[in-house]
Amino acid sequence: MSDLALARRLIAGEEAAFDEFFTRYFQRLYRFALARLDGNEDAAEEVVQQVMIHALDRLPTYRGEAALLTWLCALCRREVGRRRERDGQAGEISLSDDHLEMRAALDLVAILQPDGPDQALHRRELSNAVHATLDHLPATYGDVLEWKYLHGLSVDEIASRLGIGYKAAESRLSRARAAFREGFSIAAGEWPDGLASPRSRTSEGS
Amino acid sequence: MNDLPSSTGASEEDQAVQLLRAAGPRPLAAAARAARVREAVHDRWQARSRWRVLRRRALTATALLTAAAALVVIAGRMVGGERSPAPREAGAIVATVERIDGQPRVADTTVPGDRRPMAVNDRVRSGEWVATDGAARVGLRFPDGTSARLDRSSRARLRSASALELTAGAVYVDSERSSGQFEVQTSLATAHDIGTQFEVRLIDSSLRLRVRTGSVELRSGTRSVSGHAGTEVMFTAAGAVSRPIAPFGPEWDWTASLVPPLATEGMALSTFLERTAREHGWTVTFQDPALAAEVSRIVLHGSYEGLPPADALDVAMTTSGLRHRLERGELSVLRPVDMRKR
Repeated sequence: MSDLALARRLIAGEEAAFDEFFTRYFQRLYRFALARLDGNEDAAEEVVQQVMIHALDRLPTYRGEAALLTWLCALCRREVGRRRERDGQAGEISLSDDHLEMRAALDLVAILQPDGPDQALHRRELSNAVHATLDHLPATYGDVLEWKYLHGLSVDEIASRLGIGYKAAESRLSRARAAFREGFSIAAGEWPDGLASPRSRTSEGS
Repeated sequence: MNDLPSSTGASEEDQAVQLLRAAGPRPLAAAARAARVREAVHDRWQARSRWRVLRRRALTATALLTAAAALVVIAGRMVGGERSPAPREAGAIVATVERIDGQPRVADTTVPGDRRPMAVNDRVRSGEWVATDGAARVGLRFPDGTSARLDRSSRARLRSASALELTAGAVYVDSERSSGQFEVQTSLATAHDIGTQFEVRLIDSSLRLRVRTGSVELRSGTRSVSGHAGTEVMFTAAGAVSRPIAPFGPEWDWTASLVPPLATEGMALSTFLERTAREHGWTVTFQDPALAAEVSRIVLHGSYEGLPPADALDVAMTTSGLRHRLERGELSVLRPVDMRKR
């Protein structure tokens, strides 16, 4: 279902649309807020609740020109900014998936010594950047990549979870990898130390 | 977390996989958090959806412009009619009973005949109705610190941790300590506060908003009216009229009967005066700047629990060796007469 169609169904008050909206966006927005609120889970919960309420109130103004997630993230960024300002933290916001910030994070990762004192911090920034990329991929791509490479599911198991055939699952995995590389390189401009930019290569991974 | 990718010459697939593994799985909000947020957002969305449907109906029906105002009133009443009997499961705990006067009651519409007397420290869930008769009042505390006080002969449904729906009587809201996002929904309009103290009262087919501090926005469809400190707004389907009012006086007195308990042991007298004045809409002045500084160093001991606010003020001032005078909403703190003669 397109974002605009989802928005129209939400405005019409369809319960199934609300379920889809919440399932699609809650965890993504939560991570978006969490990365900007120094990992404060209570604050992230509050912010996401406000943002989702505000977004649903303002839904009739959504025209589908930007992805719904992009619109929600813009509202979330504003709400986080307000909160930090209220708490006297204005100017300290860390937008690790914003382009410049992500580039800086990756540059730092590239020059880090393996046992450097700031390693944990910069790994967290890298994680935020990767997670933000996954969250902005088309539907199920992020999940498919995590299932395969982090949870160790086989292609058969992924096919079964998605209710599709083996070949289709294999193809989706391939598209997901390509989308991840593309998304990450667009945002970051380059890859961490030791990894050539995918833009410089001509072949597509499978 | 796994090690960062560092190999050179790896295939693109390996690179993507290494990066994913270096980052680890995406964090997830705990199920309890997700459930809390879902419920709050869902409640608000549902109310908003119903309101939109009703508004569409009202707009269609107002083709005859001369009948517009009357139709909006009817539509507003239909909202109340649709909401009231709608059974739903009582949800998460969204407020705690802080003060009671008389015998307020709470009801869960999903349980036939459920109508329980309320007691201090009772928890109230979203979806539950709170009702007071002609001799009862109740003060509720929401998780963000907002105090909502229901006057006599009132009825309200708790929609979420930041919203209640008023269908009869009046509610006074003090959101000083919260983010100022509280809402009072009624069939005529929704009052959105911006860190403030205000009262919403339903009188026949009108909504009366009285703003003591801060400001409140009333929204109904495309209409929006702001009420600022010291303003009363009479809002009807046909229009709104504002007039200035005093933030103190007999019309506010009922809210003082539900003032939250104040832990005075170890409290600075200046804080006590500030809190008391806030609850009554008074301003505090001192006889001279030096006295203001002295008052901030005086520490209260003991509990004033159970004393009416005016009596607690008398006790605090007398035991501190000071005098006070209250005139036209101004609380003047004075030195003892004999001290000045010396």
